[in-house]
Amino acid sequence: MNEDCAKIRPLLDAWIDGALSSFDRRRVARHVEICSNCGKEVESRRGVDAAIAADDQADDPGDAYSAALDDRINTRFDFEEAARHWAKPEKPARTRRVKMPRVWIPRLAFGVAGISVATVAVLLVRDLGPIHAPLPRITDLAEIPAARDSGQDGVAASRPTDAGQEAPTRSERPAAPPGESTIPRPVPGAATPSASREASDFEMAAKASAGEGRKEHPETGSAPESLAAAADSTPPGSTPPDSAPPSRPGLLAFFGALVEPADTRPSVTSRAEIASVAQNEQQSTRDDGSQNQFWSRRPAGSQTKDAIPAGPRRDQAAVPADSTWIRLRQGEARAAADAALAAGSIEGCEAALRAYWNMIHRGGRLLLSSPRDRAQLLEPDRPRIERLLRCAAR
Amino acid sequence: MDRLSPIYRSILILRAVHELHYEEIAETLGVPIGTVMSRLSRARRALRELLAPRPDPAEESPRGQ
Repeated sequence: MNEDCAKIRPLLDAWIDGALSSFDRRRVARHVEICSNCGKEVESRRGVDAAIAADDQADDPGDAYSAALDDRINTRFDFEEAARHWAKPEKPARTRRVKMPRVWIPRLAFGVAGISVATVAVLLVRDLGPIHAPLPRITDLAEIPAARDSGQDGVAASRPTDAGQEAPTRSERPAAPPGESTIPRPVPGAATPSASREASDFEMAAKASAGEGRKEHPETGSAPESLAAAADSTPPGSTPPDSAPPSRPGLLAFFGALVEPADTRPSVTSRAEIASVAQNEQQSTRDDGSQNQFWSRRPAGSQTKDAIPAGPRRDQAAVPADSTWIRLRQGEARAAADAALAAGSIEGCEAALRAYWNMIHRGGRLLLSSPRDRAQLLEPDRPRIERLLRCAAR
Repeated sequence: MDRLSPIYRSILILRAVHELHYEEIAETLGVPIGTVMSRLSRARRALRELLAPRPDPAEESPRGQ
């Protein structure tokens, strides 16, 4: 027996039982192959295991196993301590509640508060939309400068316009007539067209929708009664309008103006027609010295259709930033219109018109200030709106 | 097997009959695994000695003549 055998012999049992690491296992295997003595030792030990396995009585580990198990149980579990623990009287319910973990309570309260704050914020943002200054309820052209000076025209005051430049906003901004670089002051006694440049979008939209179809300038030619009919039905100079749609006469007038027969309004489907209408508009505005803010995007003085911006943009309705709002409300309005028309209910038709109103209004502000854009937007729904108007007007 | 001590007997049975691994034997008996290995080695040696044929003293003398 050499030195290697002295090192290998203690590992033989573990090697036989497969309890060695891979390195030691290979080492022992190599030695057993070359060492006859260790080989005989391995055979002898394997024979012992075989004899034990062959013994019919060698099935029960015997008392040693039971004794060892009892020792384990006794050393690891103190019966006396357990008896003392379970013998303790129960704590009162109040004490037990006090012992509730306090870690999760602040977190739970914080989470609930955070969720409710987030919910309220989402509801506010969705319903209120972009925050704008309240629009004045102006139904009379003569009140525009007074309202502006009194600060009610919050929108115009918050949007200082540079008369020499075109404002890059989605609402059509009036372009200053040539030669003017400052905001013109209202000329006493004169018509209000020069002051209407700074008018709010609501005023422009109301006037434009009421004056659509007229060749003359909207400010000079629009009748107060039609403007009043198209606007909210509140007294002039009153508190700024809220986001609620007007009453039935207002709705009928507003949508009636939008769906006027084609022969009473200029065609907006071809560039040539746009050019001719624009030329007439500019001619009329040039005559009375005022500015045509209807076609504000084109520079003043352009008379040919070449001045019309090329591309399909002018032939299509401008896509506002509220296109998602419009799309959602359009679906609602259509559904309401179909239901109302199917039921033949006057109230339902009025509600459907209010739904279309809500589609083009957001936060009290009229979207798509250009009446042409509004007309094109509502063109697919024009048959519905006409039927709604006939239904609601009964 | 009955002539073995209970400790050796139990560990041999757990290994040879029930084929438990060293870790399982250690967990079962509640001893370290090193103890299992040494105890198993001694148990096998003891059993080997018991199973080894012992020369009969009565037979030796006639052969020695």
